[in-house]
Amino acid sequence: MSDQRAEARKKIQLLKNLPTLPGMIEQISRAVDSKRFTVADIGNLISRDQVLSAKVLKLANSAFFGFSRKVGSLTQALMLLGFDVVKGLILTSSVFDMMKDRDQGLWEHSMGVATASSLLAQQVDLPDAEEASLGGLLHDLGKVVLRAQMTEDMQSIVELVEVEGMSIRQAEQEVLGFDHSHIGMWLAESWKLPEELMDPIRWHHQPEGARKAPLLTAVVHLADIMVRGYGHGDGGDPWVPELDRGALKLLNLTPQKLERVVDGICEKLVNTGGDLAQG
Amino acid sequence: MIRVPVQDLQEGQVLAQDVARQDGMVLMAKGNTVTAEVKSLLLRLEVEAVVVEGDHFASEEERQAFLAEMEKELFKRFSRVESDPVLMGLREMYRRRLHQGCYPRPRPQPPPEPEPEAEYQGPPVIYAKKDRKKP
Repeated sequence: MSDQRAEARKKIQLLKNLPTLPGMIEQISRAVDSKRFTVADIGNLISRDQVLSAKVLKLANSAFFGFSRKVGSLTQALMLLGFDVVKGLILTSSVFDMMKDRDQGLWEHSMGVATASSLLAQQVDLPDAEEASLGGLLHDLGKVVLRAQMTEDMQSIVELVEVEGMSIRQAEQEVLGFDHSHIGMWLAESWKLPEELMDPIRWHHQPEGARKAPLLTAVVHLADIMVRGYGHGDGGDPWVPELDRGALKLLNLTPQKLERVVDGICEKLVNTGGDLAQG
Repeated sequence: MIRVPVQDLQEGQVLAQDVARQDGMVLMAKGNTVTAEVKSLLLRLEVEAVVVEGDHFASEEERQAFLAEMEKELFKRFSRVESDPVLMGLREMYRRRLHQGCYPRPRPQPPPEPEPEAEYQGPPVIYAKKDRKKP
């Protein structure tokens, strides 16, 4: 199994060579760390890549952040969302570029979980709803990599789901010895994502493992279940996964609060799926 | 009820839900009929989509058939967690909303008019030299 892990790590290293990702992110990270730059400077830096800035603005304006006014500029986006979230949006748009036409269903699933996470965050008083959105958006990062970079393995996995009726995660473990949550974490590590975001990526199926951001992880765990249950997008198999009791306790939701989230899902996830992927 | 992007609103449609801002302030109450003015106002307020009455199914049978199909898919999605009372509660919430017009995917659109296909001429015939007629 350790051979397999080493191999997968190698494949993920390949991702570092993807266009637009490292250059821009590192430049911006350096600018932020140096503390000599203002928000406007960083906004300008991103604006230089017009395609990228258009995508970031589109994401910032999408339903799951729920701003009542349009976010018109990158500077505004940085002020409203904070640097970490904007950095996450840049990552997201780059990641999903890898698979644009290949997997609309996964994109819709991710957008859906971002929306549901934000709705849940409001009900459980998680202070940072934007971070919850981002956690939802990126939780299946590993699946994107699997589909884009490990197509042969992916074929075997899909076969196990379709023929044997395995869940996608079971099938991944059967074929690879690990699953998309591990791949997502390795990638998040190599991209130096904030630790709070690594937890939902690594632990959204086993929320008890989260150390840094247990509540955020519990939110994404339930959001994933709710979006799969609703039937929006495609997470890789058609079944609702098990709900973790610890996470449920941590969230401390009343049926009324859950109803409110369901209402929000109905309102925000009707016929809107995926339109951002074309951007 | 159906959610419609504001730019696709038709005059005469009736708002089925209040149009409210993020902070809860109601911009337009349900029951209002869509007119050209209402539509342009909603556009100016940068409202993306509103919920209007009517499902636009061709018939009640069609609506029931679509609902039955949606419900079947819903139950299949939850089929592996039937021992979990919380998730069964969630399934029921979704089931009730299905009947209120909250569909996870669009209703089937009427099939587009089939384009007239060019008549199939069969594979190209290659004549042996001797069969060719001199014009």
